[in-house]
Amino acid sequence: MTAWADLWHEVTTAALLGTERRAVPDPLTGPEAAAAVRAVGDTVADAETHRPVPPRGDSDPARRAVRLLAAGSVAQRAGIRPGAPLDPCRTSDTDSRPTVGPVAVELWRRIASEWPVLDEEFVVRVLESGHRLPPDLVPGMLRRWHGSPLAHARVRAAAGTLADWLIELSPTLATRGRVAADADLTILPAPPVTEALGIAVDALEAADPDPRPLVRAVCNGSFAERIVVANAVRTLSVRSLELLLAALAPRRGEPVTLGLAPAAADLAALRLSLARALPARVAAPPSVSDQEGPSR
Amino acid sequence: MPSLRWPRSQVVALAPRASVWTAALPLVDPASWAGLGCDADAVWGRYRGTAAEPYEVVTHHRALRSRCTCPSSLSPCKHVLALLALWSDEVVPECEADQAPTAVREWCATIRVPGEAEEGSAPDRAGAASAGAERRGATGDSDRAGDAQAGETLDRHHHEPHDAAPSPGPDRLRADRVLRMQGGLDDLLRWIDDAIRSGLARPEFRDPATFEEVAARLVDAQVGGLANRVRRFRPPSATQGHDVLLAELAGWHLLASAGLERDHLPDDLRDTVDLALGWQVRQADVLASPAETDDWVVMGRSDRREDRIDVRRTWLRATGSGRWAVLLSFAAGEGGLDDTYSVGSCWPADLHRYPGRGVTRALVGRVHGAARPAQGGDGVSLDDACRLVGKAVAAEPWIERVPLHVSASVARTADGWALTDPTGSLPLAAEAGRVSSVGVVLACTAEGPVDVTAEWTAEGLVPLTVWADQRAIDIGPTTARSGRGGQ
Repeated sequence: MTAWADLWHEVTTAALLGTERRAVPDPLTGPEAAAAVRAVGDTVADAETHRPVPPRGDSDPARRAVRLLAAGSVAQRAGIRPGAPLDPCRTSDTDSRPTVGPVAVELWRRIASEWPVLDEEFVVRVLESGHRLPPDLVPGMLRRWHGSPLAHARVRAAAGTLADWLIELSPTLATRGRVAADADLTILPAPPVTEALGIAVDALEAADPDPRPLVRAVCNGSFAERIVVANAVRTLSVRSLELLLAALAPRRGEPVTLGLAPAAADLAALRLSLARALPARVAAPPSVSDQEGPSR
Repeated sequence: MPSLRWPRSQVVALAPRASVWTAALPLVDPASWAGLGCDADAVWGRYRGTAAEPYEVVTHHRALRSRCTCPSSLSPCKHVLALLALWSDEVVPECEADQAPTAVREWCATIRVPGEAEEGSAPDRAGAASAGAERRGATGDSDRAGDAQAGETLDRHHHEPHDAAPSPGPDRLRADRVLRMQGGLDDLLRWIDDAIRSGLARPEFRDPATFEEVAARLVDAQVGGLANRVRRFRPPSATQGHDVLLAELAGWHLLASAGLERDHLPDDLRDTVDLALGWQVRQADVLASPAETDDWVVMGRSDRREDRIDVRRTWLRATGSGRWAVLLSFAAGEGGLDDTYSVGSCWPADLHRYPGRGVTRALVGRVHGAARPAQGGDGVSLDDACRLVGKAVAAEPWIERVPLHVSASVARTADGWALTDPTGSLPLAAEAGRVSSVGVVLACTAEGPVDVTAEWTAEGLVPLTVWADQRAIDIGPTTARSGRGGQ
């Protein structure tokens, strides 16, 4: 060991055992001090030039130990040097699908913070559009659906090989459950709606669409019905979303503010933006059988 | 004569319980108050609550005594805390000494300010030190309620005998404060000496209560900044080594020693020491300082719970000069943190710095145009980053965090994760490994190095922002109040 390392070892030992039980070493002087300064880096020299106050002589061993500790700690931090270079974690597998664009990423941020009921639909849209998830979203999504094997498998499909690579490096991102091999990852279960809302949705989805029943239901809806109304909006096709938005903005584009109309309009607009940002392009959506990996 | 206002953190520290401060927060609304005023001794006002009559609230902020007509048995009650918070926020207007309401003047006349009986016996160094602090707004860290032994608790039922001592001037107030702080710093240095004398391996140094007591004594001595640092310290667990404890004690020792020798320090270092100890600079004074006009990129954000307050650090870097600065915002109760400056945006603006050296705190002054998205792209090597940390530590030996912008990849180590490049490697803090931030950096560097903005801390690097895919990805630490800006 160097004189500096010896000194540091001695002074930290004295501090831990107590200066009543262990003698405090003398500070380095002369060439040894210069060597110590070199050992902890040139920046210590800068530190010396900035030294505000000359040290006060003190015969108290505890005070001397504190001063040595303080000087040593600063010297070590000021002389910080990186450790040896390490092998970076890299994946050699590449996914030819393009990542989703910034518009879709921003939509995800809105979904995650304002309309989490659309979170799985977002991943389905990514799959159907032939895109892959941007890398920064993948760890959070794997963690988000840790307890839901089907949704977790959907994220793995949308993230490609990156997801399996991350799971291998960080097993806490895996899910314990399993999914049937023939499960279609792009099919989401239909959200439950009341009979009356179901009829209103059917009227809007009909060949001769009538948005009035759904608009009435939305405008008369109370806060307690917010979830089922949101579910009804979640079932609508793109065409019906456009019709609903038009019906909820009857006067010069100003939205109706009755009942649940603002919330329904916001959700419909978000779904419409999602559909436009990630239009379906893939003829054969992936299934679980396409995946291989540790958490299948 | 202007009153010397406390920082909000000291008002919070005065609360007998966290719940009392929480109850006080809705009352920190000027619309609920009438007759607000303050002078060099006291702050007063009438709170209009649901009761038939408003509560008369008055606090003698130098003697740390208060009176409120509410029925609460708590001392100080939520009305006193709310009044002090309004005063701290500079909402309460200043009055001349003779303009205080008669009842307030009469009550103040019954209060004896501790230490004033010894007027004229103050050591010379206090006077000299106070002169150095003249341009600062001195802040009074309040004594903790319940410290009856010190005789300085806020107590609406306890009236001192009439004491007709004349109201002291600002120099005298600052001298009092400096004396009190020096006493606290001396106590801390003695405590550290005693700890080393008896040995840090003793179990009490793994007990947070030990450090809570030290922090409370520093609060009593009005050294609020250092008290907060001591209170934030988490002692090592039984399975951890003592390195962190040794380094932290060393930092406290250096800061306390510098505080005692502040009259001999260079101006910029003295300013840095003063801020670290808990002196406050008025925002108006900072905004009156020369502006640093540049395009300021919001490089990163980190939110942390510190004591009972959420603190957001927003790191800015000038595209022209390359200099760093940090904006601070605070939140307590139901308030949120400031989301104005989102990570990855670039603001053409005037920045006004607090006094001090190194990466200083700043305030945004005039904004010269709309914010636009910024790009990463000029991350330095880890070797160069270490040099920057070294310079920062040399300039400010007790520094707790240094902003860095590096280009690196993630590597696995025996006990966690690290950033690495051809010049070396630096470990990531365990804090980063526990949350999802390391996962995001890992995912983004899967195909090659990317630019990462991080905070250097003694425990390792804390990643704040990944610059990838033409975007700034905010992965800084969050708290319950981080909101959307902290996702």
